[in-house]
Amino acid sequence: MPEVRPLSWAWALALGGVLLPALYLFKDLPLWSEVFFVGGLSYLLLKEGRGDFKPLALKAQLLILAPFLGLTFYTFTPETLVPDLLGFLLVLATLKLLGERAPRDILQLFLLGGLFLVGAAVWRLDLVYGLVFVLEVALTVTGLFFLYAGKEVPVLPQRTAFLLLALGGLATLGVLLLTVFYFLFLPRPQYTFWASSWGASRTGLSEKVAPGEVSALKEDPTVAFRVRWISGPRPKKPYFRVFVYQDYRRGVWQARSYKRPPSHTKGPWAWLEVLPQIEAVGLPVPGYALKVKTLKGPRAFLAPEGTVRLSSPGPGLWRIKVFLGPLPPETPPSQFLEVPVTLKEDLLPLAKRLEGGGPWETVARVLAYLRENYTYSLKPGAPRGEPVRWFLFESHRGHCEYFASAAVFLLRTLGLPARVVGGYAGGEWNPLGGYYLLREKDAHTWIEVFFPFQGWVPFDPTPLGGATLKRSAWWRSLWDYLQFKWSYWVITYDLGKQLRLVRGLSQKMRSFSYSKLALKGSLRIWLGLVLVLVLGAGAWRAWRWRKEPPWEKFLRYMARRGHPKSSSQTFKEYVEELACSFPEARSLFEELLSLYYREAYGGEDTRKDQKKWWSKFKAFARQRKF
Amino acid sequence: MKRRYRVRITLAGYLLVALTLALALAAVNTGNNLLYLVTATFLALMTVSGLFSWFNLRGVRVQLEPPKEIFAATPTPFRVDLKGPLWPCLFLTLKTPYGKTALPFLKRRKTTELWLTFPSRGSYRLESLELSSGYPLGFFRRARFIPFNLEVLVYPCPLSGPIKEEGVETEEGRAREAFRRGEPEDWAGLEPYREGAPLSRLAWKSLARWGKPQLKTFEAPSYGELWLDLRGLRSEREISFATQRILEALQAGQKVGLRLPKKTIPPGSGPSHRKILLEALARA
Repeated sequence: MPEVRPLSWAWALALGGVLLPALYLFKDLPLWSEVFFVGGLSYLLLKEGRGDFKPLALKAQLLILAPFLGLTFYTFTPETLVPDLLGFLLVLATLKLLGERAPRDILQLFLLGGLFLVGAAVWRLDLVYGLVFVLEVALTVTGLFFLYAGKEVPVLPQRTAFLLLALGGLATLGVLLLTVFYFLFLPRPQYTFWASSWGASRTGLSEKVAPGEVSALKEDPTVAFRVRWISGPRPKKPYFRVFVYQDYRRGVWQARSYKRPPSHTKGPWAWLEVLPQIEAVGLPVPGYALKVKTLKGPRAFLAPEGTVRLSSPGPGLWRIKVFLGPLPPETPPSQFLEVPVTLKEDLLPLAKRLEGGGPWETVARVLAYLRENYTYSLKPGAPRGEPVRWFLFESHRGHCEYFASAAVFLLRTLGLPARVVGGYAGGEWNPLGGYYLLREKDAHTWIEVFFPFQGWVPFDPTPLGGATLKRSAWWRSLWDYLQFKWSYWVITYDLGKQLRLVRGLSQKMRSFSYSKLALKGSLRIWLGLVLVLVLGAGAWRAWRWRKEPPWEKFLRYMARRGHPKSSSQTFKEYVEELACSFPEARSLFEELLSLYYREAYGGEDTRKDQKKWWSKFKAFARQRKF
Repeated sequence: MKRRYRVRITLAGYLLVALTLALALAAVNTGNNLLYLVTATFLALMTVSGLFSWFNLRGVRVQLEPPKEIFAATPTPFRVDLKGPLWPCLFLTLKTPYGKTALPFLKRRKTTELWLTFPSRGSYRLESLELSSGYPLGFFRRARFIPFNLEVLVYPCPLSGPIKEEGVETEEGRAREAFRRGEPEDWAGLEPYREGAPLSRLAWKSLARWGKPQLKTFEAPSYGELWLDLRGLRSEREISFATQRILEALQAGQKVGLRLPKKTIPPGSGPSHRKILLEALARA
C-alpha cells in the first residue's frame, strides 16, 4: 500500500496557511517584505524542482533577519505599525519556509499564519476576511492533524492519511460551528479602553451644497448605507432624504440643524433600520421621520423638516419610524420663498413665461422646461459668477444641484414655496436581506414644493435623474447580502445585539409550546425516520442482551470490573482464580461453572437456571458492591 | 467500574492558551470583533481537540495477558487484546509503570505486545493501565486509566555466577550419561521468549507462524540430582545465580532440589517442578 509522510503534508498545509493571508494582505504590506517573500518562494520552488534543496541553518536565518528587524524599526510610524509588523512576520515566515522542516518549525509556521490572521483582523474588516478566515481555519486544523501524526509516526498508509484528511475536515466544521457559538456568547463590555478604527470613508453628502463645486460622488460605487425595511409599505421609487437646504448664501445651500420633538401624523408609516458604511452626520429617511431610536453608536435626533441627524459621525445602528405620505409643513412655508435679489431680476421674465394656470401646472411647466432645454452633465465646468444664473443663461449644462437650484428659484420667483433636498435616490433593493443598498453614486439632489392642504411634495427636475430602483444580478445581491450580514453580525456585533439575542432566545424558549409545534411534511418524515432508527437500535440491543447467555454476561461484567478472562484460560481456571479473589462468592462461581459444563459438554439446556443464577449473582454483587 | 481521565497540557498547548488569553485581552480592550472571532476560534480549537481526544479513548477495551514466566530486569512481552469502538482510534499509547507501547491505528480489534520490565523479583499488582494520546492536535494529552487488578509474580533475574551446590551423582545417571554422550538433546517443547536468550534457541518457524517469539527447549534424560542450599543466602545477586543454575540444571535434565530458610523442595524435574522452584525463589 502506498505510504505518505505526514510531516510533508503538514508542511504543505502550513505553506498554504502562510500564503493565504499574505496574498490577502498583499496590497497593504511593505514592498521590501513582498519582494523578499516572492524571491524566497521562487528560490524554494527552483531548488525543490531540481531536488537539491538544502535547508537554511538557524544562524543564517538570524543573520538575514537582523537587517529586516532594523528596517522595521527604522520605518516605524504609529500609522503603519500593523503593516510594518506584518511585513516583518512575512520575512520571518519566508525564512522558516527556507529552513528546517522539523515538527517545531512547522508548528511555528502555523503560528505565523495565525498571527497574520490577527494582524488582518486589525487592518481589514471586509467579507473577504471571513472567507480567508474559514480557509485558514481549515488549513491549520487539518495541518495540525498531520503535524501530530508526523510526530508519532514517520510514514502513514495512504488510507490512514485520507482518513486524517477527512477527520481534519470534520474537526474544521466543528471548530467553525463552535466559533460561531463562542463569538456570539463571549461577554462583550459596554465600554472599551481603545476603540478600534472605524475604517470607513466620509460621505461627500453634507449640510452644505454648492452647485458650483464639481462633485465626484456620482461615479463612486462605495456602499454608503443599508436601509433595512422592518415593517410597513415599501416605496417603489424611494427618495431617501438626508438634508433639507433652507438658506442660500453666495452660491451655497445650507441646511439648518436643531432638535425637534417627535410628532404624530395620520397616514401610512414604516419602521426601518439604518446601517451606515461611511461616516455620516445625517441618516437617509425615505419620508418624514416621526421617531428615532439609537440602538448603537452616536445618538440620533429628529432634525428639521423630517430629517434625522447624528450627534457625531460614527458606526452604529438606528431604528426610525417614517411617515410615507405627503410631508407635513413644519417651518412656515413662507420662509421658503426667498430668492437672492440680484438673481430674482434675471429670473423674473423666464419665470413669468413658465407660469401656468395653477401651482401644479406651474411646477410641471418649470420641470418640463428644464428637462427639455438643459443637458445633464457631471462636468459642466467652472461657473462664471452666480452659479444658477450661469447655468440658466450661459452653460445650459449641469448636474442635479444646478437643476434643483434653478427649479427652486424659478418656483419661488412665482410665489410657490420650494426647497432643495439632498439625499439618495433609488438605490438597489436586495430581496435576500430585505434592504435598500445606497451607494455614493446614488447621492442626489431634488426639490420639494409646498401645496396648501397637501404639504410638501417631492419633484425631480434632473433629466433622467429620477429615482430608479436598480436590479442586480443574483450573485451580486447574494454577495452584498453576505457583506451586510458580515457587517451586521460580526463587525458591528456588540453588547446591545448580544443582549437582544439572549432576550430573543429566552423569549422563544418561554413561549415554546409543543402543541404549537407544527411540523412540515418532510420534517415529520425525517424525524420519524430518526425515531424509528433510534428505537430500532434500542430494540436490537435489548434483543442481543436477552439472547446473550448469562455466563457471557457474567464474563463481560467481570471484565468491566477489572477481572478479564485471559484467552489462554479455561472457564474452570478463570472461575478458580475468581474464587481466590472473592472467597465469599466461591459457591456462586462453582454453581455457574457446573451449569456451564452441563450445557457445554452435557448437551443440557441450562439457560433458565443460568438466568436465575444471573439474578442471584446481580443481587449478591449489589450487596457486596463489587 | 470507575473511569478516570487526566488531561495534561503540552508545551504547544501552553502556547495556545497564552495566545488565546492575549487575544481575549486585546479583543476586550479594543472591542474589535475580528479579534473576538480569532479568540473564539482558538477556544473552539481547544474544545474540539478535547472532544476528539475523549472519543478517541472512550470505547477502547483492553485485555492484558501475562506470559507464563516473567524474570526481573528482563523485558517481557505481555499479550494485549484491544477492542475499539465503531470509529477508528489513532495514536494510542498503552502505559504501565514498567513499560509502554505505541499503537498508531486501532479499528475494531487488534492484538499487540506490551514489553514490561520489572525491576526486581516478587509479586506485582498492576492496578491500572494508562491509555493515553495527544491526538488530534498535540496541544493536550489525555489519559484514561483502566482499572486492572492483575497480579503477577516476577521470578529473580537469572545471572551466571558461583553458587553453593550439592550434586548427587547416581549409578543410573552415570550409565545414562555414558549412553547419551555424543547424542543430540531431545526436543521438549517451547517456552516463552526471554530477553538475552541465544538466537540459536529461537523457534523461527513458530515465530513465522504465530508472530510470537518463543524458545525451543530440549530435555536430556535425568542423570543426576542437584541440591541447592539457600538457607544462608540473602543477597539478590546470589538468588539470581541460583535461578540461573536451576534453569541450567533443569535444562540439562537434572533433578533439582532446593533448601530455603522455611521450606525445602525435594528434587524433581519438568515444567511444573520448574514453576514451583521459580515461585519459591521469587517469594524467598
